Parts: sequence; C-alpha cells; structure tokens
Amino acid sequence: MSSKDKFTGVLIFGAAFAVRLILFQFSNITEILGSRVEIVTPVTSFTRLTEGLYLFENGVPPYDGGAFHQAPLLLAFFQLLGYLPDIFTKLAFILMDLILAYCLTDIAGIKQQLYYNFPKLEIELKDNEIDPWIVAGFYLFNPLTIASCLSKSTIIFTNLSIILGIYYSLKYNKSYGMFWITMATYLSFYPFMLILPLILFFTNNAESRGKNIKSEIFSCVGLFASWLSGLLMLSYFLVGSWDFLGATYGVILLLPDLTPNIGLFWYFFIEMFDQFRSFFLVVFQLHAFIFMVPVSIKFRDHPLFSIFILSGIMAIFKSYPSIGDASLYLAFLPIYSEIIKYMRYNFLTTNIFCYCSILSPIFYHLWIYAGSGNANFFYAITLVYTIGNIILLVDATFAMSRREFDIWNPDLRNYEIIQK
Amino acid sequence: MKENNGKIRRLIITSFYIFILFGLPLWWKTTEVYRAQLPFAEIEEWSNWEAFDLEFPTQFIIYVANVETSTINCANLSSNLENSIASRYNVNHSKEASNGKRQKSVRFPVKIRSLDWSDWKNDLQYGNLENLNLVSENGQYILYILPNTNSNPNTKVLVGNQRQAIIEINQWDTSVIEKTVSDLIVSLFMSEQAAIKKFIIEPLSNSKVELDSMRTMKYSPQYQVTFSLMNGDPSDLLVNWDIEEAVDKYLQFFVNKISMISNLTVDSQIQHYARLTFEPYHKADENYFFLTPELLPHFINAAEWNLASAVSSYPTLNFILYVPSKEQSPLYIQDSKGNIAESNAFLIPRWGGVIIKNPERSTGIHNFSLEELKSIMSIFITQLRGLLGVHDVWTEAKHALDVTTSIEFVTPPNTAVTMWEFDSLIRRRIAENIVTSITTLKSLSQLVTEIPNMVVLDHIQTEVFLALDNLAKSCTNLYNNQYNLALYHSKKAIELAESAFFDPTMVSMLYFPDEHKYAIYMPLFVPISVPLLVALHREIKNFKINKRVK
Repeated sequence: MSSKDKFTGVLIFGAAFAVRLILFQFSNITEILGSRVEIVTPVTSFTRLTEGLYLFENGVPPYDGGAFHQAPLLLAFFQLLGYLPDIFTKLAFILMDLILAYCLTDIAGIKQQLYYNFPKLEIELKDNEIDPWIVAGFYLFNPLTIASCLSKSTIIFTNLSIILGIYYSLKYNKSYGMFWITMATYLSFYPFMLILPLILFFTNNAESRGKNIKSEIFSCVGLFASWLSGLLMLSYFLVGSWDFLGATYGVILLLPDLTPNIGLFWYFFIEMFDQFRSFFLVVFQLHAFIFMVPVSIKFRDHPLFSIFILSGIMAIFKSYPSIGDASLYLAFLPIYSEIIKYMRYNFLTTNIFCYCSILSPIFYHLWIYAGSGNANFFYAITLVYTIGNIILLVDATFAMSRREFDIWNPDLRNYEIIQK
Repeated sequence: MKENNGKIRRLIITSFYIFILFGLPLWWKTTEVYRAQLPFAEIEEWSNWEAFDLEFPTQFIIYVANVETSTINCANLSSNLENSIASRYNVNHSKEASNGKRQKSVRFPVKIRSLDWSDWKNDLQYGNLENLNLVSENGQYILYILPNTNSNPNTKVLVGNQRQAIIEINQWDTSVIEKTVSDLIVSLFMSEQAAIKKFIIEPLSNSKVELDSMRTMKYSPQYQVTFSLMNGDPSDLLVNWDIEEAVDKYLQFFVNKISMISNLTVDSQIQHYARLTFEPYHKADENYFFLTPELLPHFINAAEWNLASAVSSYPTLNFILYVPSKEQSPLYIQDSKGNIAESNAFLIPRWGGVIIKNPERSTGIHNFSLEELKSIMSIFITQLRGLLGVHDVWTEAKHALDVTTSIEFVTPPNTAVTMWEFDSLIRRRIAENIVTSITTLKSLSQLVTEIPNMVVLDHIQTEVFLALDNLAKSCTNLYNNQYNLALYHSKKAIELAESAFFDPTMVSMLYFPDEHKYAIYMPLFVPISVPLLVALHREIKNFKINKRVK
C-alpha cells in the first residue's frame, strides 16, 4: 500500500475512533441507546450482561435470575475487564469495531485478488476497484454500527467472530477460520449456517492447492465439532452446570422472552394460539435455515457473496435480531461494489432504511409511553424494515446473477431477462 | 454449461424439499393433541355404582345394669336388637329397590354388644356422665341402661355430649328395654340416614326442595368467615366491638373442632354509613320500626355494602351485626303473625346471618362489650352450624320418639357441637364428597370423550387416578369403620377431581373446530408453497421433454 493509502486508513480509523470515544462521553446517549429495543435484544443486552456478571461474581448461578441469556465466556471476558477502570470496557467495544473494520479491509483486498483473474464486464476494465479503506469506512460510519457500538450490544462479539472466521478462511488458515466461526455459533447460534460457504472457501481452490476436497470437508467439520465441544466444555467448567444451554440456545430457539424487537417473531408469538406455538416455532426456525443450502449451491463460486446473503437472512429471520446484525451484512455490500450498478431499488431501500430509523422510535414511543398507539404501530414498522432488507437482498442476488450472466453472454447484455 | 445449470437448479429445488421433508415429522409431533389416557371404564364403574358398596357401620356397646330381681340375657338382647334395628332401617331401603331402577347400594349395618354392668350403683350417680367409659371412635357409641330410680313413671333418656347415653327404664323388662333402645337408636340416626340416602340415590333431584340442603353451604375444604359490624349512621352513634376477644373466647373452640372437616379463617370489619335500600315499616302507636319476612331478602344492600372478600377465593360466610340509624330505630323483625322475633336475627341460606341490635344511643358512642357479644356470638354460632350443615340431633330425635319417653340432651360444651352431631356431620360430608367427586369425574370423562381436540396433560391423568384411588380408600375406610380416614380421603378425592376438572389447560381448547386450523395454516403456507410447487412442476415438465428428445 502506498503512503497515500495509509493516510486514508489512518484518517478513517482515527475519525471513527474519535467519534465513538466522544459519543461515549455522553452517558445519556449511551443509556438511551442501550435501552432501545431496536438496538439491544434480550440476548445481546449489556444491562442483562451486567446483571449476570453481578450474580456470577457473587457466587450465584448467573442463569438463575432468568434475565441473562448470553454465553458464559462473555462473563469471563467481562469479569477480566471489570478489574480495569470503566473506560476500558468502552475502549474494548470501540477496539472491536476497529479490528472488525480492519479485517474487512483485508477481506476486501483478498477478494479483489481472488477476482483478479475472473472475467469482467468491458466497462469495468477502465474502473479502479473500490479502495479497501472505503469498505472499512462504510462499516465504521454506518449509523447502525455506531449506534450498536455505543449501546454496548454484545452482538459485536458475534460479528467480530464471523469476520475473523472469514478472514482466516480466506487466508486458508483452517483451524483459526473454523475456530472463529465456531465461536460465532457458540455466541449466538445462527452463524452456524455460515459454515457451508466457509467450507466452500477451502474446497473451491483445494485442487490448485494440492488438497483433496473430501478431506477438506471432513477436516472442517471435524474442527468445527471439536472446537464447539471444547468451547461448551470450557463454559461448563466456568459456570459449573449445563444450565447455560437452556438459558442461551434454549432462549434463542424457544423464544420465552417476547420483548419487542425489529424481528418478526415477537408479535407473531404474542398472538399465537398456544396450541400451535411449538409448531410455528419449528416453522420459523427452519425457515431461517432453509436458505443455507440453496444459497450456497447457487453462489458456490462466490462463497463470500453467499456469506453476504446468508448474514442478511440471519439479520432478518433470526429470533432476536437487532440493527447490529444489519450493520454486519451491510458491510459486505461495498466489497461487491461492482454489482451496485445492476441494483434496481437502491433509492427505495435507502428510503426504507431512513423511514424506519425515524418512525420506529416514534411509533414505539406512541405505543409504550404515550399510549396513543398500539403494538400494531411498532410491528408495522418492523415489517417495513424487514421488507426493506428483503428487497435489498433480492436485488443484490438479482444483480449478482445478472452480472455473471452478462459476463458469460456479452451479446445478450441489452436484453431484458424474463422468467417464463 | 446449460446441462450443468439445470442440474444445479434441480439440486437447489431438492434441497428445499429435503428441508420440508425434515419438517414434516416435526409438524406431526408439535401439533398432535396430547391426550393422556384417562381411566374411562373405571370412572364409568364408579358412576354406575358397580365399583363399590357404601357402608356406614355403627357399633353400640350396651351396658345393662345387673339388677337382682330379673336377669336379662345379654347375648339374646344383642341379637334381637340388631335384628329389629336392621329391619327398621331397611323399611325404606326395600321401597327404593322396588321402583325398578338399579339398586345403589348403601347400607347402615349395626353391631351391638351387650355387657353386664355389675357395679352400676357405684359407677353412676345419675347425671354424672364424666365417670363413665368413653369411646373415641366415630361410629361407636355406649348406652347405659339402668332401672328407673325416681318416682317418675316415664322412661328417661339422657344423651351426653360425648358418644354415650343413659337410659332409665321404667319397667325392667326385656321387651321394653329392646323397644326403647331400638327406638332411641333409630330416632337418633334416621334423619341422617335419610339425608345420606337422598344424596346417593338422587344427587341431582330438584323435585322436592329440601330446606336443609338449601341452607347448607356447598362443601369446601376452607371457608372465609367474615364478621361485619354495620353502622347505619355514624353521625349520631359511633359503634365498636371487642370482636377479637369474642372470637377467641366463644368461637375458637368451634373453629378448632370443625377444622377436621373444613378450615375456617375468621376476619372482621366495621362499616359506617351502611344504609338500607328500603324504608322499614313504622308502627306509630308503639313507635318502633319493623321488618316483615317479605322484606328480609332485600335487607342486604349488595351494591353498596362491600362484603365481597378479596382475601381468599374460598366461599365466604358473612355475619352481620346491624345497628340501624336513628331515624329507623328501634328496628325489629316481625314474623308473619306480627310477633316480634325474640332473637331479632335471621339466617340467609348459603350466605350468612344477620342480627339487628338497637343499642342505647344517649352517649353517642357504643361499644359492644365481650359480655354483650356473648349472646350475639351464640346466635351467630347457631347460624354458622346451620350453614356448615351441623344438624341438631335433639330436634329430630324428639319428633321420632314416642311420647312416654322423655329425652334430654346434655348441652353442648364450648365447642358448640356435640360428638353425636359432629359424627353425623362427618358421615354426611363423606357421603356428599364421594358423590360429588364421582359426578365431577363423570363430567370430566364425558367432556374429554365428546371433545377430541381437548388436551389432556399428564398431570390431569395423575389427578384423576389419585382421585379414584382416594375414593376407593375412602370406601374401604368406611367399611372398616374408620370415619376420620374416610373423611380425609373423600376430601382429597373431591379436591383432586375438581382441580382436574377446572384445570386451565383443559379449558383452553374447548372449542377449536377444523376450519380454524385452515385459517391458521393457509396465510403462511399457501404463499410459501406456490413457488415451490411451480418449480417442481416445471422440473417435471422439463424432465419429460428431455426424455422424449432422447
């Protein structure tokens, strides 16, 4: 990288650090953000983590209170942080965001090398690739990312683990890659679906690296299983019982806490006939995972793109989504900046995101505090938000497919494609 | 390339369908209506009275005084008495059997043991019952028979407040003794047996309105007893009462005694400005106000008097001491003939009792002292006895006995209930509980059979099994003359049966027809299945075309 590049990077990271550190000084901002249902959920709330930590430090089983639903290793991490002054907790959150962004720049760089030999459209030949620092900038200055960071939502641990998993997998470091994706699965269960595209990283180039595809798959799965059992055992020794399984994964899967969030689950299961509750839980959870295989097959040559789509699906269809999940998948979009010219609804989706950001707090206020609205107000906004996300994903999928089609069929470029 | 694309597409579609196939068993598993198997056949047996025979055995020990002049054969006396009492008990019984319906068997076997009582003169000074032998078991009674020592020609009976009675016979003769004893026993037990039979044989008959059953509260293991002092107008008279001491002193023994059957929790309150909703009649010439029996049902001002108990969900018994306002006092209750009722009190069936008091109002303040409350509490206790189903043995027995026999009862001790009465209440409650439990279980089994969507969870099954088990135990205990255990098990049975019947998981799905299920499945699954089905259809079509081309 040239010195100019380095300067851009320092500027972006320095500004992102400064913005976060300054905003962290306003305790009322962080408090408000830390209690917003759009930003923190029962499984990522820092307040609940503090509660669990308090119980843990006082020798009470942390999951007995029924308020704490996060992984035991987070307890250990924050207990260690607790020995340091308060500012270090904030610095830890900021630092994780910056590390995540730095990995993103590397990922963007590696991706550009990988695609270097891929055929391109004629018009793209003149253009420069997007500067990886800009990719980091998009992530760091995304308002959703900043809000999520300031709220001290522990979703950042999951996001960082996912990004590190991708980073090491792209570097063909199998054990680290699998470790981090296992960590993400361990922290919030849903990233499990990302294991397929990650395995594809290893298998796609296996032959050129002189490896056997089958043995790559088996070693990946084996590593995943052993890391996972290792993490679970470690957690067991940490808290002394298996209660944490029910309190973390049980809560994620069975949804006992119906606190409103921006997902689809809470309203549905408030209204659900009790008789059908378990059935629809199965349907909803399967629905989140049903895309895992087809998307990986469809974009088997572009595993990073599969990760983008799947983390988007995760952010929409998981049981306790927050804007932190959206900030992760939106970070992948600039990496694939070449498809943006094919996307048809950029204006619409941008507007939907703005619309939701403004109306969701208002409608929540109308419902909970003013009493002049009801739950349907807020739920309508979560539906709009979901639709916005889905349009974006569908649009990106379309753009990717169309671009690939145009590359292979340059003569058909000007024709509209109609599905018959 | 094209070939490859088709293969990939098929792979993608297959992966969706594999997921759906994976979901199907989960669908089956999560929507099945869980129904624990209930013992329908057994419940049916109970409700048809095939599973058990109810027996309420009683045993009498008769001490016959050893009089020199004539000797009485004790063994003969016992067997003769048993036969005569059994035949008199069964008069009614055979009549029931003749009406063609299935015989519900309830029996009242009597066992009599006669003993020679040699040193009766030393044992007994007449009227001094405390020195005599006592029995502590419900269903066992001791009768002492001795010749009449007084000049009074009549036969004299003294029924104690424990389980014993003394009979002074005027003519010392076997047949007279036999007749008197059997008369006495039958008169003491007849009404109770009639009530039990009625319970069992026609538990739901409304044909004849019976005062008894209308007055008595429905059985509950616990009642809330509330004493309320209602002041009509505190602006000219302030009232207060020493209710806590009064309850401790006069009521506590009764509460303790009856706790074996039902627990009573007692609370009290004073309410001011408790006005009547109507104007009582005024008798101008004697300057007093009065209520007629027609007005009494309107006496309780349900809208304004805050009598609903917020403390417990158990049934409440209300006792009201009413002090009328100045404009309406003195206030009395007249009977239908126009006489003022002496107690100035009345009982409201299945609700409670009311006493009206007109205290001295010259000082502007009145405190019902412990002494004053004694008479008030005695009326309340009488009303409470009626509400809880304690029957006065003497009023019933007096009617049944022949006129030449004078019968006396020792007044109840401070428990306000004699052992005769208490035993009788226990036996009635056992019968009532058994019958109610069976009816409840029967309704439950009917409901479950009729509504196939009803969820029956394991704990319902457990409760039903336990209820049946307790019913069986209760009947066995009855057979073995263990009334206290029988009561305990019958209480358990009714509690379990009712908790199963009223369980919230039972009522949630009472009405859930199949068309509701379509409404639940359609909105989600139709949109999902359309693209999947279309894709499948297209693949099949392509497959056929390819085959033809080849």
